[in-house]
Amino acid sequence: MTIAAPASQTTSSRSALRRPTSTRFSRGLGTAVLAGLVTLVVLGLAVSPDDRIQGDAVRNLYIHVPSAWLAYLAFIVTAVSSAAYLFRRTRSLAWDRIAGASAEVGVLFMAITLVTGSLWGRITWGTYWVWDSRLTTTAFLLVTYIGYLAVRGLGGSHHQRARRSAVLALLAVLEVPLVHFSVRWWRPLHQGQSVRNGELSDLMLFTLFTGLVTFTLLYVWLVLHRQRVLTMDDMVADRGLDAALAERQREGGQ
Amino acid sequence: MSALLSWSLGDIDNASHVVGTYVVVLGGIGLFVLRMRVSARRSAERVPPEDRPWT
Repeated sequence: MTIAAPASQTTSSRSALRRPTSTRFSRGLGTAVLAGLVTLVVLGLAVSPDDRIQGDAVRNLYIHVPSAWLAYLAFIVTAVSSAAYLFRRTRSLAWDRIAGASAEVGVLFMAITLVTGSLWGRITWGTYWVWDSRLTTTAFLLVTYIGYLAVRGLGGSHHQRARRSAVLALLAVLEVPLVHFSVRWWRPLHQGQSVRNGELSDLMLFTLFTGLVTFTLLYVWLVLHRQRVLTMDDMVADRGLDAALAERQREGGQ
Repeated sequence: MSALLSWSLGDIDNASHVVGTYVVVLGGIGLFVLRMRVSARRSAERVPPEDRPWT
């Protein structure tokens, strides 16, 4: 005989399977991010004015700069979480999973930064790519963090993975200031700071600010969900290991 | 909103590169979220809700 579960329980378990990493907070945050992205697209493409020098190419600024900001933020959080894991008092695999999730998001947005920068470069420089210091160091940073993710994927226990990737993250983050200050140190083709030099109108600044806030919230939302997926992956791996050990013990007992 | 955008895009110089930038960003985010959801559902089948610390 089959006993039917109460309707509310069935709905709740269906929801838990359909949106396994979701909570009320994350749903609220996701809604805010979606609203922010729609606002950014409308402001960036329709409302904000064109620039007297760059024309409409300036619209790339509102999405290219927040992408780069998000990638920097992600790599710094990866390093801080890695340091928290290595520090004996705060050692927890939760820090390692935050580091891993943050690095994945950082790699995505570093790649997006390179592609959007190339599209912008095609308009303003007439070419998709030049080997100037900003572009080269950015590409190098992306490759470094792809390597970091590859190192995370090597075998071993969770703590072995956490230890080796934490050390790598603390070394890799040293490249972030190199990329950021490359426009000052080596005078590349890539433009320098526009905001501090007062080259943007109020509406342009507001649009850029909207992009920065939206992308920061997006980062929190993505890392929140991704580290929950990584937590479940670790639990699944642990259960597989436990089952294999139990099987071995049974075999040994026979 | 789409009317506002199409009116605006008609006036944009280098529209393919400018709009392409937005498409790359939003498409990249969309693909990442999709991949994450697929991976989450796969793992969730083997981890009951009561074992997840956030539920």
